[in-house]
Amino acid sequence: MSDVKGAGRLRQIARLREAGIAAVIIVLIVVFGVLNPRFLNPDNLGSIVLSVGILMILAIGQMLVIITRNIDLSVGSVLGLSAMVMGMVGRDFPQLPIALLIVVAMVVGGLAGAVNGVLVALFKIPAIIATLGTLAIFRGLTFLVSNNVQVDPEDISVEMKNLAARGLLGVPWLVIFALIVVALAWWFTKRTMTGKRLYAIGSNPDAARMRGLNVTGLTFGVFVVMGALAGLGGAMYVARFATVNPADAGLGFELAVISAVVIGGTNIFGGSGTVLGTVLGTILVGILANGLTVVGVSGFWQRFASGAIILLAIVADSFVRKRIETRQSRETVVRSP
Amino acid sequence: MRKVRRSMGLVAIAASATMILAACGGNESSSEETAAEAATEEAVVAEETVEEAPAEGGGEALRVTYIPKNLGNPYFDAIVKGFNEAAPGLNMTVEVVAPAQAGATDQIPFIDAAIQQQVDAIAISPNDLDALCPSLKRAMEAGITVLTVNGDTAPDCREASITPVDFSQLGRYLVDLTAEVTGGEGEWAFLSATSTAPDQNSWLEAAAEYISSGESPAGLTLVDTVYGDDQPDKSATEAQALLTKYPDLAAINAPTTVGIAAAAQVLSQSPRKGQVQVTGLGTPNQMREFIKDGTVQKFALWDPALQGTIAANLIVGLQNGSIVAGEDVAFEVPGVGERIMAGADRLIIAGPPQEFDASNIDDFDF
Amino acid sequence: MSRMVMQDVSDSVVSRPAPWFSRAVPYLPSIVILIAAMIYGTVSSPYFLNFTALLVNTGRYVEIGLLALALTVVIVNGDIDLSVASNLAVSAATMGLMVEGGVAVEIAALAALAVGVGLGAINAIFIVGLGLPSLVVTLATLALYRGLAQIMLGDNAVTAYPDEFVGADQVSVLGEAVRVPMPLVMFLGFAVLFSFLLTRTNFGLSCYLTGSNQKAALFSGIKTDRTRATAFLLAGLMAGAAAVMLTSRLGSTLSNVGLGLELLAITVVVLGGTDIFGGRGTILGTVIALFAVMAVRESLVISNVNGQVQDAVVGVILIVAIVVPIAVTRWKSRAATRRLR
Repeated sequence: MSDVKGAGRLRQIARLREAGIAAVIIVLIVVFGVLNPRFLNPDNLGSIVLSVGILMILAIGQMLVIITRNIDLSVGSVLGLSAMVMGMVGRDFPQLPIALLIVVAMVVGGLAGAVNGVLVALFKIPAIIATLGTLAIFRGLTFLVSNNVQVDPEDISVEMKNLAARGLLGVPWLVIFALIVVALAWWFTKRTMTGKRLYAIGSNPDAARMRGLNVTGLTFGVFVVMGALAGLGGAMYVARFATVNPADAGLGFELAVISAVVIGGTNIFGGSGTVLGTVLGTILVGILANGLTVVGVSGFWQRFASGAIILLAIVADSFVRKRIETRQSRETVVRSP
Repeated sequence: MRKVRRSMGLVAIAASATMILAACGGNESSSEETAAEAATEEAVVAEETVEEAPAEGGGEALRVTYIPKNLGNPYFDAIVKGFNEAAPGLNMTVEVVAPAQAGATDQIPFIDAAIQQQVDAIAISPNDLDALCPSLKRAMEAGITVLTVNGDTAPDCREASITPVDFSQLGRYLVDLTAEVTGGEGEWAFLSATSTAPDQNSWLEAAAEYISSGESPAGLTLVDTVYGDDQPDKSATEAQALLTKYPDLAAINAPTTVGIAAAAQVLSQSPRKGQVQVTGLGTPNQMREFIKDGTVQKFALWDPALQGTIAANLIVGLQNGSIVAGEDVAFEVPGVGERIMAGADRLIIAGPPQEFDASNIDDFDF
Repeated sequence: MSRMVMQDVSDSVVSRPAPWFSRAVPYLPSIVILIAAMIYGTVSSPYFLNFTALLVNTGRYVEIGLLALALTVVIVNGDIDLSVASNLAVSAATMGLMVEGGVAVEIAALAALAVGVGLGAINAIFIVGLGLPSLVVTLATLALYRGLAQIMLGDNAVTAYPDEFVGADQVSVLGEAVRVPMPLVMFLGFAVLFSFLLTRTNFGLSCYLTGSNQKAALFSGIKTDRTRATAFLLAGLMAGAAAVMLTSRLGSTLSNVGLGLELLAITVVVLGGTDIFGGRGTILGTVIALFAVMAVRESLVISNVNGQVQDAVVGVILIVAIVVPIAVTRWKSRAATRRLR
């Protein structure tokens, strides 16, 4: 009984939260648009959409990881490693179809995710520590496999680059991939038992284990999915930027991705988080990065602003949560006699 | 062929988690070999290390450490190539080591290690004007020849500095290059590296002086300067923002190899390809396809390898005493010609800028 | 009353007598790594085993060490502080701007410490005061403080430091014969202080209890809020101290100073046997781990191994150091159950 009430409350918070982010996004669009109308140019919006697309693929994976009360700091390095391997394979075997190349990237990413999964699920190493280690390891591997040589634009096929430029009805393939990932994640979290189990694990791993859930297997699986999505992100990175440099590719992405997920209302301690929230959080992060640049806010202020916005998001979140809790406890008091 | 084989193995290797341990074990296994071998054995350094010089009879080979800003950057690979081509004839071994990031302090451990290894000379492409000074001074006190290559520190922290082209003229040159590709008319913007990059900042300053002096092409208006931090994604975002902010933009000038490639990539996908020109400093391999598809008309750089060649020869001269570092000292570089340590700052200009366009880009490979 | 409770708990949790070898177990990974790295360095490069050089080079690791000491306390409490390196940058920037403005360097250094504590207090307000998770708050202030340092300094480097302030890492405490760098001595001094704080004071005891079980600690009368807030202030103070040391070593200040040091410091703390979930950890472990990480890095750099590979090796070591004890325990318990059957 209390479970149902708890779930209802969480849903209420999530909905309020999503409305809040949507409002902030609209305000930001208006403000940026007023400060510089060119912000609203189709060309510029298209660029935002491409950046957001890559970020979103990673953020969806990260959301699933965080729901299970874990975190993956290695996403940027996994993206770099899979982009590098895919770029090299594409360079050396230009006759391979790009679909296969994307599979290569996702397999490499998935295997990297499996390493994280083994460390976290099997060896029970705290995810933040394990992935802190693999963040450095996968970046080092990227250097070793590439022998410090970057993949140049001329080594990347036109079809690959077109993924970021052409698609169905004018929507680039990159964006379509991101939308497919979002749709699958929505279906997975809302409509499948396995999806719901992830939330159970995150809310209370011990209780979940006692109820007979395969916590180890599910946690491992989530990390593999995260890795495969980072691999897909790596493929999209290659399409968009048409260069893979061992030092640069994906460097620092983990911060943007985690920011997007946290802004989107996913509880960093697991157990709650929605696909819609993550989508909105990612859009907010993407708009902010582009908008601050377009209105000419100095680069020096941008990092400061992104930190301030994460803080603001979690403070607002905690206030909303507290207010709902007090209102509910008041309601219970009224009803109790 | 070698490339192909490597990437084939790669899919399998990257695929296996055991690779992580293998990478570690690889380092460990070399510990069984002799120290001298181990020094040249290290997996990552291997390809960039010159094998032991052949002329072993003629006294001990000079030991030189070159520290680029970071690895994986084709530009610095070209400088290494210059070193490597000159070294065998000069009885010299060159070790190339670099930090993971191009942070101000990240090169310090490598300088200290070179001092400890009692190398004969350190050549470095410094990441920071000041932070490396204490370490470099200690190296000079230990009797090590210190040169800066492609970037500089304070003049009292090295014996001489090799700079790829005349940087004092480069700001002016970049403005003129922009004028050339735009026909001398319109709005343009700089897309630079990091806001703290000393080279780029000095060029931007010189360009600003040139523009305010009134001698620059009158039809050009510099409307903005943005920083892509030498990261492809940040540079692309900034390039896109420039296109958005300035509907009449005629050119983006990116005096950094990462920035120009990112800007060209953005433009090649944009409907404004052809209206907006991208130019600046880039490497031919990165830019070849944008020249071929018409996104980019012309860009420039210099031959980075020349700096390596000059550095290698200068080190030998400074070591055997045939060259003494000092104001306006001239010296001969075999196969290159005479160069001068200009002024009290002992700045050596390697050569003139090299321009690339559709007519000559296939002649270069770096 | 509360003190009595604490005494009881302390008997059971902290000062249970144990044989020396079982007490040494948490330190084993770092000791093994330290020895292995020394052997690897010696074999792979004839220049590695240079006692003077090794001692002098400790100067480069002291800043990481200072951050790690304070982080040990924070992590024992069950929290984390990812913002320490960014805090360091703001403290250093403050000091730089003051020196450039003509303020005496001693006063500027004190101001750096004060700014460090102030930023630590901001973390504490959000985390303890508003009850927000430390991981997210300090992830945000990691960006916020770094941004602040960039706003303060912009593109400029401060180099106006007086000569007598620059190069403390080259000053030897025992003269030229045995070059013991001053920062090393200061670090060891701080380590003794922190060790005393954690093992011999009520504050230390509250830290372990708060980290083991915050609710239980609260019910047994421990002011967990005050304990956690104090730890964040200490982290800020050490960030300020590290800023002063780093500035003296470099003789200049840039806004990207200390970028990424937080990850190294956390690696050191965890390698030293501190439980990332709190409740367990020692300063001695952190100190040994610092020297282990240093030995690894120094042996790799002297063998001409590149930066990325060095980072990767440290990452592998971090993971192996955690996995091996877990695997051994599990293998033992499995063997034990098999025997019972």
